[in-house]
This record gives sequence, structure tokens and C-alpha cells, in this order.
Amino acid sequence: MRDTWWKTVLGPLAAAGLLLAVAAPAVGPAGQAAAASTGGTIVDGLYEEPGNLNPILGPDMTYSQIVDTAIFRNLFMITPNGTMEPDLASVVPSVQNGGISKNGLSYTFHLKQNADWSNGQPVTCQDIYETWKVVTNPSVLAVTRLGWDDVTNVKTISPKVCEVDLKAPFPAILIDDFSGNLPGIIPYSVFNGMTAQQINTASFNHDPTVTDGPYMFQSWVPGASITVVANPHWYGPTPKEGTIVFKVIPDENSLLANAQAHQINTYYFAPIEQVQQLKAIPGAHVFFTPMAAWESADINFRNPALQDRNVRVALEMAIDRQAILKKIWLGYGVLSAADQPPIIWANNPKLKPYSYDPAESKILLNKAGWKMGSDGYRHKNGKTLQLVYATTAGNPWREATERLVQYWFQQIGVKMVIHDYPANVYFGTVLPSGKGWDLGEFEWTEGYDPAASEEQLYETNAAQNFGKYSNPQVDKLLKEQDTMLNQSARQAVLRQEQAILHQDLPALWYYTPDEIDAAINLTGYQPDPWYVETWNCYDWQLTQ
Amino acid sequence: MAARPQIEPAPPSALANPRFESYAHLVWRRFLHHRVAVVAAIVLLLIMLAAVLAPWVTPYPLGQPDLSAILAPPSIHHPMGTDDLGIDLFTEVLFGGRVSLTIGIFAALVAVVVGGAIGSISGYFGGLVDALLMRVTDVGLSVPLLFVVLLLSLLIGPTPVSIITIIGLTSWMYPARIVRSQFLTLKKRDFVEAARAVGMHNTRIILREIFPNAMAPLIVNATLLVGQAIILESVMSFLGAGLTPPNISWGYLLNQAQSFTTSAPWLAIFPGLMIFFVVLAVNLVGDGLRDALDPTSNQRQ
Repeated sequence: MRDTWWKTVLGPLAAAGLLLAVAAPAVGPAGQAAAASTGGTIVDGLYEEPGNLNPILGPDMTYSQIVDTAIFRNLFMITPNGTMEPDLASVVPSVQNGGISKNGLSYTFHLKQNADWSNGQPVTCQDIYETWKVVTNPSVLAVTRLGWDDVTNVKTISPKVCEVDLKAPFPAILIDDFSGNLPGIIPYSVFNGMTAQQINTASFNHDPTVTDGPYMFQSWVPGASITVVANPHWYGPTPKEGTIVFKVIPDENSLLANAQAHQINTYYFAPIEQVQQLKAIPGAHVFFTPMAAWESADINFRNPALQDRNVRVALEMAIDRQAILKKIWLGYGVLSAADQPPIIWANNPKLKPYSYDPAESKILLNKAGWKMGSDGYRHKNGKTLQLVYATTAGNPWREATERLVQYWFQQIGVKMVIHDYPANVYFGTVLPSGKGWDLGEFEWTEGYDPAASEEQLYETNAAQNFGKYSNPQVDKLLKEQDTMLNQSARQAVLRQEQAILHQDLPALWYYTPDEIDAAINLTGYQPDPWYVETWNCYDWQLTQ
Repeated sequence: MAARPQIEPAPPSALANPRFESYAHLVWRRFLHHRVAVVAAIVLLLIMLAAVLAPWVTPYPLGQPDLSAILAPPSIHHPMGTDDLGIDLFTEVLFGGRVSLTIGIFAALVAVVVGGAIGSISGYFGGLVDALLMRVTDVGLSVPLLFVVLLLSLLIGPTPVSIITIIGLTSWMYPARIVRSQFLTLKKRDFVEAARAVGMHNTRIILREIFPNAMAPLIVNATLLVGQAIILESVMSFLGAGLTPPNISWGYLLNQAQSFTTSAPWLAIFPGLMIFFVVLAVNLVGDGLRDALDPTSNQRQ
């Protein structure tokens, strides 16, 4: 009988292959067994692709934070109800429990005993020390050094207990540097011994192999997606689903189409004009969350016309902000009297938004010497009252706002020219240069502690004081609250500062819009105004 | 003995009315025979007339919002519906037509003037001048037009004048090539030699003798350029680099419609249809003119 050799050789080989495929456990890139989660894959629609995934490197992008927060944790976090809770740490330090010295110059952090990195090594004080050294290195492209550059020393008392000393009290340090990411905490085991150049260009920035969050990095297909899988070394609750794929979809219409086709499970920061369509998706839950943010139009004080407060008030009162909120934002938001929104503890509830009163606007402009000409616009000393209004291009509700503002300004004799820019050009060049705009609209989002925002936006010569507003009284109040440890005392000072900003109008105060997010076929999704959507991604679970 | 050649008798109309028929009249008569082009020309004229008369024809002032009628579908009160501020779309389309057609026509004019000048100089003088100018033209044709246009718009700022200039100065290459090829042929003709022989200056030869004979294909190309310029401006606006209110165009309206394609499709349909009809009409008129100007049936003396 002719020997069927192929059966003899290939048969056993095929059987062995089949046995291997069935019997071998699923192996991740680190050679570890996959976490004992379900096999589900959550798809998170990302409107922007992160610049990198290093929790301390710039640029400061919300969408980088979203992915970072799934894979990195900090010592503390702020829950949706505004409470600070320990995350990597085991307790929140305070003056009462001795974790903060009475003079505010020393903080003692206790790390969780079971807080480990994804390579199995424990999170220790060495990681905090390394983070401090790296962030304060002037050659490292850190997202911010605020707070960290006040640190004089990080002492290891024991591997899990460390003391951080400051040169001056900085009550916001727990919020600004030890909650959330950007900046976050980096692994000593990766960055120890690296130069600044090596840190800025490290492969870790796009391939973070050592993480400490509920998920760990698996892969990044540039322009397409970032995949993370459940981290078996995570100290918190086991993630309910094994994988999250962050799918890059840089177009809101495409995000909507993906949501409607159930191709994504989360849609973060959905635009207001898509609300009705999102609500109509079967299995979708649309969330409206008050934000720690505000929309306003910065005044450029380089324009002499805008240095007159009467003109600024006239412009504010000529805009029917309530109509914008009701008709464009469908009522999902609150009007602003100054910058701080109602959910922030520093908000001054006694301040009321300016009323819509175009008649009063005309009186104020007349008082300021701007008289109506035959061309329908106001003139003074041979000059026409013409303002350039700038904001980000491609944003439908901002475009609607500026068209309305242009119309309302025309009614009071102010000529308005619209000039929009791509976001990176607007924020990177146009606003900082102070040229090419008189009114610059944008939204500012802040964390739980508002002091950093106030100092960056309204302090004389501050980095993001684009309009060159200056009021010595505001500067004095901000410095005063900087060293206060008592929040009530700080609140009183910041409310006083708010009252000045309301009067001065360094910006036209518009409104605080609600954040709009959608979860499709997903439970456990809960927006947090103090954090990004992935703060509790371990609780997300797919439904039918 | 050789056969005498047969001579066709002259048509009776020529013998009965031996008046000389001007070239322009001939072209006009031939164009009228092209029925599709005539209909297209009428449609184009009507659209242009409506745009010109927009301030008197439109039922609402331009830019006046009505926040109680946001995204209203087409109705008796608003034949084309309203936009996201309750502004009447019919009003916006007519006023937008003024801008789009102005940009289209003048941008084509700029391209034809610049291209015609370069092509005539290049074709007439030849040699090094021709080589240099044609290399410049080749470079112009090699550069991705859309990126250049977007970049210039970002740098200069989008106003009607700047957009006309940008589109015109980035579209002259094909007219230049067309005119050059005509000049290369025509400059060798006897009438040009005769003009040189009597001492006519080069500029006069180019403008008075050769150019009128080279215009036919240029005119056809100009009509096509109008359509291209309208589309290019629409693309610029669609990508956010075009005009801003109160200077709205059909492209601007299409850009605005992007966010409402499913909830308010009329915002895209009507401006889109206007662009489609105008560009189609312009192309059909161009076809008619090409046939009317066809030199093989030219009876000019």
C-alpha cells in the first residue's frame, strides 16, 4: 500500500496546532495573563488624537487626558460630587489629620500598599521624587510646572510614605499636581537616569509600557486607534470589560454616524446641535453636566476704544446672551456674571449677569463719545467703531453666536468683522500675539481649584492674559489667597476678586454651557465635571 | 482637351444680398442655432438678474435672525426654509449668488488677462522668453492649487477682492498655454509678416493683429474658468478659508450646512443646486461658444 505520508506528518502537526490554540491562555504583550474581566470591547470615540501618552508631557490636551486616565492614576481624584478621595494614596492629607503641616509647607503622603505598576513593581515615593525632578527640569517639555516648582524636596520616610516640602504655602497643590493627569505621576523605573532630550523623545511617550491605572497600554495605530486592556496589577475594582479601544474620529458628523450605527459606546463633548439625534439613538443615554468652564470673549485692551468701560458695558448689554443660551444651547447652561461658574466654590452668588438692554448700550456709547454716523455706524475723532471678532473656525455654535453678535452690534452702530482661525493657530499664535482681534471668544475649562485659572487669565502679564488686562487690586487679591490654607478665607477673597472682574469686564461674560456626553449601550458611564470621562472606566459595562 | 472644372453656383442669398457679414454677427447666428447653449444662457442670465436685484426681490433683510423660526423647513413664508438662526435661506441664496457670481466672473477675468498676457508674450517672442515663461507656467501647474489657495487665504485674509485675486492669480496657467499655442501658429501667418514689413511695433502686432484671432479658444476657456472659480471659492468656504458674514457666498452656505445635513438638508440642497445649475449653464454656454467660434466654418473675409 502506498504510504500517505502527508497524513502521517501533517496530521499530528495539525492536531498539535489545534491543541495549542485551544489550550494556551490569551497572552498579552508583557507575557501576562489577561485580567479576569469579561471579553467585551468598549469603543470610545475620540474627536482628537492625543499628542502623546506621557502623563507629564505637553501639549495639554483633553483627549490625551482621557486615554491617560484609563492607564495612569494620581494620588487623589475629585469625584462628581466635588469630594477629593484618595486614589494611589490611602488617605487625603489635611491639617486636621496631620498630613499637612500647620504652616502649609509640608505634605505627608501615604501610598496604598497594593498600588503597583503594571510590571508588578510597587508605586513608591521614588516615583513621586522622579516626577518632581523631571517636571521641574526646564528642558523637559512638561505640560506645566505650576506647584511643582514650589517643591523644595521629596523625602522618602518609607517606600510608601513620603514628605513633600514647599518653599511657600500653595493650598491648590493637591488639586493642581496630585489629582488627575497632565501632570500626573511617572514611573521611576522608566525615567531614572534619562536626560531631558531622552525624556522628550522617549518611546514610552507613544508606548507607555509601565502604567498603574485600571487598564494598561496595548497598541497605538497612529491616526486610527489606541487599545488598552485590563491591568491585572490594578488595585481598584476589576474592570468590567477587558478592552477599551479609543477610536480616533476627528469629525463630529462621523462621530454621530458612528454613534447611530452603534459603532462607538461613548461620545464625549458632543455638540449641542446633535442633541436631538443622539437622544433618538436606541440604547443611548445623553448626559448634561454642569461644567467647571465658561464661554466668554476676551477684550483686547490694546484697542483704545475698548479701554473705556462704558464701551465694554455697552457691548455686553447689546448681546442677548439669554437668547443664545435658550435657542442655540437649548437651555443647557447658565448665564455668567463673571468667570467662575456656579459649581465652583469660589463663585460669587451675589453677582447677577448684565441685562440685555440695547437702548442702554446706545446711551453708554453716546456717553463714550461714539456718535452715530450716516452710514449706520458710530464714529469718534474720524474713526469708525469697528471691532474684529475672532474665534475657532469650524465650530457651528460659535459661528451662530458671532453672526448673532454681529447683527446685535449692528443695531447699536458697532461694525463687527468676523475672522475665525483653526484652533491650533488661534490659541497658538493669534490670541497670544494680541494682533488681528479685538474680541476673542473661547471656552476655559478649569479644575476644582479656581486660583490657577484666575492667575493665568487675569493677573497682570499672566501667560494667558491675552487681552493685557491689568488691575492691581485683582493682582493683590490673588496673591493674598495664594497662601491661605483655609478655604472659607480664600473663598471670601476670590469672591471679592470676582466682583471686580464683573465690574471691569476683562471679557464679555457669556455663559457656562453644560457638557454633553452620550453613552451608547453602556452602563456605569458617569461624567465628572472635575475629571475626564474615563475616571471610572473600570465600571463601564456593555449592554445588549 | 481638359474638362473644365465644375463651379458651384453661388447661393442665391449671397447674390441677392452681397452685404459683408461681420464675424461677430456670424458667431452670434451660429450660437443661436445651439439650442441647449441658448437655454443655458437664459438660465444664467435669470440667475444673475435675480442676484443683482436681490435687495429688491428678497422678502427679508439679509442677516436678520428670527430665533422663533430656527431650522424651519421650506414653506410659503420661507420658500427655501431657514437656517440655524432663523435667517431666510432664499434671501441668503440670492445675496450669496451676488458674491459667488462676482468672484467667478472677475476671477476668470483676472486669470484670462494674466494668462493671455503671459501666453501672448511667450508665444510671440519665443526663444528664451518663451522657455522662461513656460517653465514658470509649468511650476504653477505643478503646485497643488488648493493648498496654495487655502494658505494664501489664511495669510491675506478672506475678502471678496483677496479671493478674486488669489483664485485669478492661481488659475492663469491654462489660458497662458492656450494663447501661446495660438500665437505660435498665428505669428507665422502672412498678415503678421505684412504688419512687420510696414514697421508696426511688436505690441501693436500682438494686440491688434494676432490677439483678436487668438481669442476664440480663450473665450471658451474663460467661461469654463467662471465655473471653476465658483467651485473653488465654494471649496474654500467649505473648508473654512472663505468669506465670512456679511459677505456670504454659496460656498459659505454649504459650509454652514455641514452640521445640519440630516436635521435640515435644505440648507445644503438649495445652495448646492444653485452652484450646480450655474456651473452647468456656464459649461453649456462654453460649449455653444466653442461651436460658434469654430474656425473651420469661419467665413470671415
